[in-house]
Amino acid sequence: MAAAADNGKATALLSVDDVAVTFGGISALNGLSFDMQRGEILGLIGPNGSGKTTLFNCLSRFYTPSSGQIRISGRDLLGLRISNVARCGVGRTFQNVAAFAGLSVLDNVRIGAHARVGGHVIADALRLPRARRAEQAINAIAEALIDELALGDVASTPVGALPLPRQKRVELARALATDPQLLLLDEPAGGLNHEEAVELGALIQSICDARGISVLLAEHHMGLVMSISDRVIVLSFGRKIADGPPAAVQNDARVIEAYLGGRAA
Amino acid sequence: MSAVTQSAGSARIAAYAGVAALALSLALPFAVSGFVVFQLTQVMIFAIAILGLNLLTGISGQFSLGHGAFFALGAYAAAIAIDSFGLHYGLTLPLAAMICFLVGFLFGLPALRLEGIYLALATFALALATPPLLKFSLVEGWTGSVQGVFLAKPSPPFGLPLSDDQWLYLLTLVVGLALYRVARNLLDSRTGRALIAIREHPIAAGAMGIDLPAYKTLIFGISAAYAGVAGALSAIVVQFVAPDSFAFWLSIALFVGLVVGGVGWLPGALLGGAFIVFAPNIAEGISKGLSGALYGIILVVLIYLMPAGAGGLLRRLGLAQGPRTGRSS
Ligand SMILES: Nc1ncnc2c1ncn2[C@@H]1O[C@H](COP(=O)(O)OP(=O)(O)OP(=O)(O)O)[C@@H](O)[C@H]1O
Ligand SMILES: [Mg+2]
Repeated sequence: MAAAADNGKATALLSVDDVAVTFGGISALNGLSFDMQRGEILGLIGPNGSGKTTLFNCLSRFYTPSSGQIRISGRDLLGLRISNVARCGVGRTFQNVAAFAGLSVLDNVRIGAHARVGGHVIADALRLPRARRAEQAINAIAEALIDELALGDVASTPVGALPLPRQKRVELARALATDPQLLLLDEPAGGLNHEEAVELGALIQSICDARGISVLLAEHHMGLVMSISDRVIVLSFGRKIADGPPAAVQNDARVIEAYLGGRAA
Repeated sequence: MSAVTQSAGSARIAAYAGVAALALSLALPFAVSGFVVFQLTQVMIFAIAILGLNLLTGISGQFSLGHGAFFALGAYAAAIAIDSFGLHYGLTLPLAAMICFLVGFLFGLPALRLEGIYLALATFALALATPPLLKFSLVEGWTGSVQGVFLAKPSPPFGLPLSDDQWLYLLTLVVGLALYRVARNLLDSRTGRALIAIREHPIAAGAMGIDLPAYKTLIFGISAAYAGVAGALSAIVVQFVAPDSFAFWLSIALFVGLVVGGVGWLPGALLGGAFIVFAPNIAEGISKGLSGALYGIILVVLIYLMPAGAGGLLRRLGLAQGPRTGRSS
């Protein structure tokens, strides 16, 4: 039994084990554990302040949990520096858009490819053949993503000048440029109407299928989460209160109670 | 579409302007007096230091009010290497670059904890500390304390038919062009975009796998190396270094030159250099007693006319690209 559980953890893409985060007495995450398999779309829902973004920030190494373990492809994520998280296959978008607002869409996506295409400052300073090849590789990655996400018409527009949903689209392209195994999407449907959210759902699914990557999707848009998630986790006050297929989670009494405003028992 | 053609148009204008400026700068030393050649050389020297400051401030968004200290370090490294160790003056340039890179890099490490005005203040302390350090008795044997170090004027090599001033002008021009090229290359590269990303959104930059501490200290070192090369050239051209040539006003002057030229617009460095060399002269020419006040007035008028420096003005007229994107795309 224990051996089987260990085995499961070794092969899981992401394994979160008993993670807790507190902010000056407020417990933002409490005893959170779950695993994610490769290729899985995992929905993450919960009322405002339930700890979704806090979890993302732990996975990006912006926050260090006060206790617990996180493993990515079997590696200790909490032993990584922030700048090595992307290299270990974790890409993300931000709830409050965090694009490089003054830069063009193309430059934003190019920066996403930073860690994926290596380089050296001396090669860059002298524009050695190596730097030129890296530049070509970065451009190829960026242009392909801009095509894939239909951003071609605004490729040279500063991102800050775009409407918010398009900025989120740029962030998605930028995150994909890091070549993630695990893609963290924090409320990608914010500001979208129903049709746009449906379209986004199809896009996320096709991105996931084409690359065989996993998506952790934090979202308030229930229609989107329930339609594309393989599995859904529900947080309430930093605790996991449900974990299962969308249909089961939707009918869970504790989930309904959490959303109706009652404190989870 | 129109944005693309417009930027192609402004790129062509920039290319013509570049060729014309190059032709002019090659002809100038043969058309003006020796003293003016000397002054123009100084303009280019300050421009090199401002170029380095621009990489730091304009690109990575960190402030320094202490680049005069790196300028001084480069100047003294060159003077001591020539005077005490008999090094060829040409070799002092890479030497000053390396020393200042190292010191700048090391200074950049604690500076990582500081942001914005706090970093500016820490660097300003560096500028204030420079003259007393140079006068310090332990290093007197090398620095010559208050008296400083005198150097011989280098003559043109290979019996070139040039005056000493013309030779130093051309040497500075070539070094300046090479360093400009390097700055441009950096700006248009993966490294440059990483630095701009840090300025635009440090958290997002980190999530893209950009190593913030590494890049911030790296650019501090590179920026200091530019100031150091400028300082070494200055020692060679002026043939003299003394502590009081590197008082804190030098750091302020470099910062003012950066702002006048335009933060984030590399060619603006030349205008900034010209401002440092000529504005005090112009002010003094108008009224000796009030030169300080007039210098201030010239500065205020310039900032009023060009709130974003010369680069900002050109950009408004559609003649230069924005400082944010490294290239037209
Ligand atoms: N940096 C921080 N400092 C202090 N408290 C924080 C910080 N980040 C999050 N919190 C707190 O932690 C709790 C969880 O917040 P979090 O942002 O993770 O919720 P969320 O599920 O993402 O909510 P939403 O749906 O509104 O985005 C909240 O009580 C929040 O106030
Ligand atoms: Mg959130």
